[in-house]
Amino acid sequence: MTLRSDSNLPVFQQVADLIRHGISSGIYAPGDAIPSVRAQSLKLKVNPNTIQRAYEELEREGIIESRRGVGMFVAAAGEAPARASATESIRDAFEQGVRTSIAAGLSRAATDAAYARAWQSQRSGAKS
Amino acid sequence: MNPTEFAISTDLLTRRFGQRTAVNGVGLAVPRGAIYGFIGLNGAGKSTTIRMLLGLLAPSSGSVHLNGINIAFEPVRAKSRVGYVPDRPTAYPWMRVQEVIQFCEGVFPDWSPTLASSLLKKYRIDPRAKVSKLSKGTGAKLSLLLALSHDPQILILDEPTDGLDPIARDEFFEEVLRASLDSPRTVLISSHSLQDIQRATDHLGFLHEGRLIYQGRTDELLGTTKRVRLLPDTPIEDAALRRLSPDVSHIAREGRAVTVTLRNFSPAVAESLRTAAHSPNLDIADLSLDDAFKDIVKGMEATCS
Repeated sequence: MTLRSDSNLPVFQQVADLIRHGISSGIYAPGDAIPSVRAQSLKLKVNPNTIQRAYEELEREGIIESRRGVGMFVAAAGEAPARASATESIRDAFEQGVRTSIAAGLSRAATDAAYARAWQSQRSGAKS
Repeated sequence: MNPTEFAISTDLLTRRFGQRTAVNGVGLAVPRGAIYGFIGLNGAGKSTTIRMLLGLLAPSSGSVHLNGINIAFEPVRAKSRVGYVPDRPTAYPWMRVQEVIQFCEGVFPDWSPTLASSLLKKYRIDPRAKVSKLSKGTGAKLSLLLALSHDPQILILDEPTDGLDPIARDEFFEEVLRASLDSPRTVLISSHSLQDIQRATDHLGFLHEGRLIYQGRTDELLGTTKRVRLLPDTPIEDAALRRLSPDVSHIAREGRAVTVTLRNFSPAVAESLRTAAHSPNLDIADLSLDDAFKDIVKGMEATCS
């Protein structure tokens, strides 16, 4: 997992999203250790304070928990909030798409069709 | 400002070359332990400032403190715990890596041969290789090794990744982060690769035409700089938008849309722009450091001309 180079989101948000999406897509399961601040900093080339801030946010959301002296782990009940906030973060992207659609004067049906095509092309792209 | 609180601090640092003022009243304040990105266009005065921090160039006026020590009064003590990575490798091209390391060992009193050989292994540099035969990426790592082998408390890097390919740049930033994580060290790095700077730093100094136009936390600059997109019902001039707030920076137009980059963003100022432009909608977007940098520079040029 790496950060996207075309994102304008604050870096701590990008790091938090990476973990959220990692949990909701099954890369990290409840109880799994997630990389330490140090390891994550070196892997992503991101300032350790920024990683720390991302982890604090995830901890507040109940997605990860720290075990004293051992490290950070995906919380036992961390999957649901991870999926919920992953959904939250894609809603912005969809809203942007819908705004573009409305601005371009497209109908609801044309917008739905465009969405279905995008889903199709991404799913087939992911499988190949 | 109390200079002992900061690893690097300068007060009204100024350097003139003839009629030209290259560095103008700069007050750097680099907190201990920070990774501080020093950014600006070519010719903004970054290298001149760095050379004054290192005592390689005397200021026309103003002062430099390193770890609270004035470098004009106690140059040797102030500079003893500083490592420097120049923009071009200074190692002699005809020497072998091992010879360069032995040479530096004789020059720096605090040099640690153990540290040097462990970094040599970590960076996977062949000690028998000729310096002239090293790739740019490995050459940059050798410069970093030479700067770190006396275990400096302050590490200063002047465009160390200039000309490196993306993978070598990634590896170099990883080593800079490691150097910061491994010991309580302060890092000041100047670079044009602003995506790397945005990710790796916690503080920024933004130099423009010799003046420090922003200094503070990296996330704060980006958290308070936003692009506001308006679709005015009636045309509105740049000057009218600028009159609304001194925080209006760059203004871009495309078709009917006007995109205003706002410093010190507040919803109230955005709303006042929307009202003045009679715009039915108001889109507020975050910027990358790269875009924020360009917009702020262009905004300064627009308001000064």
